[in-house]
Amino acid sequence: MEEIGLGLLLVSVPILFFLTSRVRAGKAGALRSLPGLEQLPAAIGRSAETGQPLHVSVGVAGVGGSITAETWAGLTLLAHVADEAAACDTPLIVTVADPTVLPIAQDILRRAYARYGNPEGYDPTSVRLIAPNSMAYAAGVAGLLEREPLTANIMVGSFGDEYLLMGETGARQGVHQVVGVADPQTLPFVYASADETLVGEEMFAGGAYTTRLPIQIGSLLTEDLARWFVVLAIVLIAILKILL
Amino acid sequence: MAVLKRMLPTAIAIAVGVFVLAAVFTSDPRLDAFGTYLIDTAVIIAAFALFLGLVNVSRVHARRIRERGPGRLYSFVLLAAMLIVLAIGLPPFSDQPSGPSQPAVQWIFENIQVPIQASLSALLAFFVITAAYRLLRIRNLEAIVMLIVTLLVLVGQITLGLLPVLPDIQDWILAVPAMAGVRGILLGVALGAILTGIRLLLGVERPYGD
Repeated sequence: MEEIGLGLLLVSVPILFFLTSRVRAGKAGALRSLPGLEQLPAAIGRSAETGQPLHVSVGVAGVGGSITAETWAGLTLLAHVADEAAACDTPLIVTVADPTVLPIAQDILRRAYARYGNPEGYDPTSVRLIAPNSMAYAAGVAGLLEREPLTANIMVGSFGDEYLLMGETGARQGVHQVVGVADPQTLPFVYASADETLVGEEMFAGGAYTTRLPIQIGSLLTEDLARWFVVLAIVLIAILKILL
Repeated sequence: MAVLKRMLPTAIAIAVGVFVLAAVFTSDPRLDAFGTYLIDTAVIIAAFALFLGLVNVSRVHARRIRERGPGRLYSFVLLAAMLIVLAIGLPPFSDQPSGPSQPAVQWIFENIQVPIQASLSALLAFFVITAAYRLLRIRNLEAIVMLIVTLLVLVGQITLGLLPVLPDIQDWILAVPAMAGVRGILLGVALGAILTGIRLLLGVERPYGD
């Protein structure tokens, strides 16, 4: 398995650089539509108009574990939302479950406000550690969703069954919800309660859609190409198995 | 100096990532030991994040109490509980157990935290019902397909023997279309995670820096 992982890694890097160069040259196609990400500016705009805060959650996992990539996807989206919030002076509430994510999320917000010339606008308590336990975190966020008059609830990261406590509370409160999860067992709950869903690998596409950097778009195109390769390999192996 | 300040954290992050990755894929004992050392260092640094968390929780809830915000009573209970557990967990004498192994802390954990968590988990059953109701109210093709599949799987679980084909249909739904969908999602997630890792290693993805 390690050899397969190393092979995938070594093959992906040159393809990533090749596709990035094509994006830079303007030869790459348009990105596929992802309504979950395309709705974000509207949600931030509504928050700026009403003055009511947005809530962002980056999941119940931390950085350093096997599901760091999912947390990182949430942090990448948070960086974009923080930039927009700092630019529009939109109040933002960020909740985290793992202490390792706390300083990163605080740093993202602090830098966003500094970039837009308003370092005093940054409030360290707008990033809140709720609880390191996933169920306790969900209960804390559900309480926040009930108490605070929010315009949108953006949740991208690692979530399990405890998502239901938060998602259902948000849906009951009529908060616009954009949710991205990778766990297939959580997806039906997300589909039932969220307005916009980012399914599986779509949550990793946040950087490409929000920053529009050639390397981010190149990375997304590499991911798409690799997926087609895997699909082709599965079909070929299935046909060979039937024939031989 | 500004360039150094900007580049140094990224350079350190990339170097550490490359070393740990090389340690995973090679069998060189020196590289393996260095990789383990780097991971241990990261674990120790991560432990300090708990102190930052403690400060954050105290600041957020103390502010809510001071400003008489909504839910300030809960904030007071939370801060009081935190301080009590901390005080109990600290060793009064060097020969007594401290921290999570302290009997009083264990009692609090087993008699307060565990029952509350169990109650919250039990609530999930009701939340599942409301979520299912909400989903089935959506009038589109996907909701109709989901309703039919849900009913087939539910009825397939009932072993009354009225329709012997139903358990077979349920097994087929779970083993073929549902499993195919799950595997497709997992493959996509794996590819997304690999590309995120590469972006991190190349220093492209760094929301921690300018």
